[in-house]
Amino acid sequence: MKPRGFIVAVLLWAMSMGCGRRNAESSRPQPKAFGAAVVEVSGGQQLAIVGAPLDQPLVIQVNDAQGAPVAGAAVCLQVNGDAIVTPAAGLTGPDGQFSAGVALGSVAGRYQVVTATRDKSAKVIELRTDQIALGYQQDLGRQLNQSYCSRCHDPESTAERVSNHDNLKAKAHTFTEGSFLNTLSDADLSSIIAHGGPALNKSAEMPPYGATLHKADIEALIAYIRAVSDPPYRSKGLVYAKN
Amino acid sequence: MLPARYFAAGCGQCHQDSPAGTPQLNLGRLLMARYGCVNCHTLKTPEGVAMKASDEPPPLTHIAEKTTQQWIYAWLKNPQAYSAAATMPDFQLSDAAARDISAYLMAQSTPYLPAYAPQTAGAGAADASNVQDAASVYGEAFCASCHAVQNAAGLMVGGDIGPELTRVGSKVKPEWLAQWVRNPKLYFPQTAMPHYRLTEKQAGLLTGFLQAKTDSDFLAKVNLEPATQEQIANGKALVNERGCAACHAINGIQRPDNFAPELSAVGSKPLSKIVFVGTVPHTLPDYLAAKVRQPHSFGEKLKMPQYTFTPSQVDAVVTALLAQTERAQTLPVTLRVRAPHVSDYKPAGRAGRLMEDMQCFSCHAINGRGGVMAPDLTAEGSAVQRPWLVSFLKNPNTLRPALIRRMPKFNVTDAEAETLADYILTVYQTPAFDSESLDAASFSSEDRDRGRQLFYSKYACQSCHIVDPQNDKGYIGPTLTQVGARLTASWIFHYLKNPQALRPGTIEPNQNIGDDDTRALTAFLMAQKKSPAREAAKK
Repeated sequence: MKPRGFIVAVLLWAMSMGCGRRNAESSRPQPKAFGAAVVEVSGGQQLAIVGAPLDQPLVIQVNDAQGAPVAGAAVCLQVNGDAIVTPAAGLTGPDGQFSAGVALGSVAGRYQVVTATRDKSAKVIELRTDQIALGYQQDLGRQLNQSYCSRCHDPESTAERVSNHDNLKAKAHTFTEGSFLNTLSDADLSSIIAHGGPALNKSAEMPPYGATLHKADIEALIAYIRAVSDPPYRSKGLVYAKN
Repeated sequence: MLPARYFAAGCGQCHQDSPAGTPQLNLGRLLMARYGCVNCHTLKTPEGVAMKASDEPPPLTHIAEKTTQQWIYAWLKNPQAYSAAATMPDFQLSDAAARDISAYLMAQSTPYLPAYAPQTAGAGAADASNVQDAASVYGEAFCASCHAVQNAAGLMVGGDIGPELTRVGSKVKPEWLAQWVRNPKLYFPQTAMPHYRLTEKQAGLLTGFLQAKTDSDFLAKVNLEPATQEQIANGKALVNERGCAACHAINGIQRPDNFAPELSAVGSKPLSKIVFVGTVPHTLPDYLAAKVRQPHSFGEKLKMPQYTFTPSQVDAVVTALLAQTERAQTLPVTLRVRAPHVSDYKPAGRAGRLMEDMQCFSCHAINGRGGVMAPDLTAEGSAVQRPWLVSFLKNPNTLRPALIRRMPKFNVTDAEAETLADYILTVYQTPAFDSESLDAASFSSEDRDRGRQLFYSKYACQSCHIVDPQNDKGYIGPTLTQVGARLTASWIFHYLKNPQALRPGTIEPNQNIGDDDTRALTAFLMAQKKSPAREAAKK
């Protein structure tokens, strides 16, 4: 038991090293100014394969109470699991912004980057941004989504590709729409993908893909839909029939 | 243990093809071909076949006709400042080195078309008189299918087969551009760009339109004195040292063989043979990633240039490199999955020459050769009707309104269009069915009515296709307002039964439609013969 207790103690100490504790104070730059809020500029909600560095940096901005950027505020970034954020601490630039690269951890799922700064009264202000690490199956689902689904299910048009979302009578659900998609079981999703909208008493504008995609493809798509869902999808586990 | 994100490297030991389940490996191999890694590094598959670059970098043998020393200098200093998507890497040259190399490139250049200058001195002049007409020439030629231009919002719009044109006016000489748009093959016979057969007026307008795309900032800080003999000689030495000729044809310089280390088995490189620097963790994937990301971190003298890969692109390249192992080279033949055969198919006769001249293969594949941007034409002769094909070749109308990349107008003559149409209809037939097996005259009006019903309710085809422009809105698939004049009845029938069998990879779902429903839908679609132009004229 003793060695284990020691390891736990070391771990707790190591975790406390990260942000806002005395231990790290000496190595971190001293703040020249204090803000009142931390906001995300860009780089939240990115998708990448497990363990991979994200393509875009996470850019945050420290603002004062009036919403004007604060230069020289000390920020400190922490992320859970074995994900890495570099640099993990520093001062905001002249535009009040701070940019950090994130490499995702080795397990599929969400990684939350917590950006912390202190206001004048030394109160900690935090911003939480999620990044999503995709496992193999989910990444395959992402590719399939690009080819088969996104033109109707993603309402955003790009310069290259116009979305078909607004041309449909029954608007296709965005895959991040957890409030709706989380209410469907895997079997329901599989059914609507394979047999089309009418399988769930919905519009025939959703065509059946069961003869076009393999079963494994459909499972990959469901895995992807579950991975990007917002709020996050939580499997219900064993569900008993209701009377 | 290999980190999970490189796992597809294992698949790549047997798979020389591009399995759907390994997007990262496929991307890595594609990047190595596209960015010309394989021009300097030999990369052999287990069959002993060296990987080839996906396109031919432009020859520099007549470069002085095309551009100025100032532009070459600025480009060498930072290719991505001219075009963010440029595949040419940054060699991180000093000012003096860039000056000397550009001086040598200008000095080695020879005229490419002696008879050209006097001929078109007057007629070839750029015509900047009518911007609107010029823009429509650019639009009709669908230059944007291959070339990107930065729009007002700073976004790149257009294809990546040809170079970006946002600042092309700061690059090329007007006389060269005038000749190039008339027939690019005279300057660069291997170019992917088609011969457009523009009229003198159109060519002048297009030249003027492109010439106006300038960026005064790009050349603002370039002040070069006339080149000295010493600079030229030094430039030649630098061109040899940097291996420019591994990619580009240059007069007086041999293409170097094995300019950089062979990478055929780099995935088996023992750690003891690697010199690690800085904070790079001592593993092979980390070493490769660091090298690809920033070669110069391993030494200022290193010849490898700096690429602008994103982190996920670096991972993809590393995955493809890790697949190159000694184990893969020695696997039994029965375990290997070969890359698809690269066909050297060449269509014959007059039509064949036309197809080469118009570069059909830059976008379309036929019998295993060609690009992937446009539909595969291997069975196109079974799909289309002759009158439609002839008029489409003369003036391609829009089939898929949501796409930016479309078939351009080649300004072919009636005779040329008919030659091509006859060849396509005779030669490119599918063995799957006889294109005259289903007679459109056999459809009754009941068939058509039932087909309409099925189209709109049971199969909801209108979510992706337009039959009635007033009410239908879907524009993922082709517009079907005149599909009855475009496609053959038997093609529509067999396509509805199994789209992927006739067009592999199409996203049109196979809906398992029964024979009766398919027949009714075919009858309904064959009745759609409206020409949008004629409809508009009536109103």
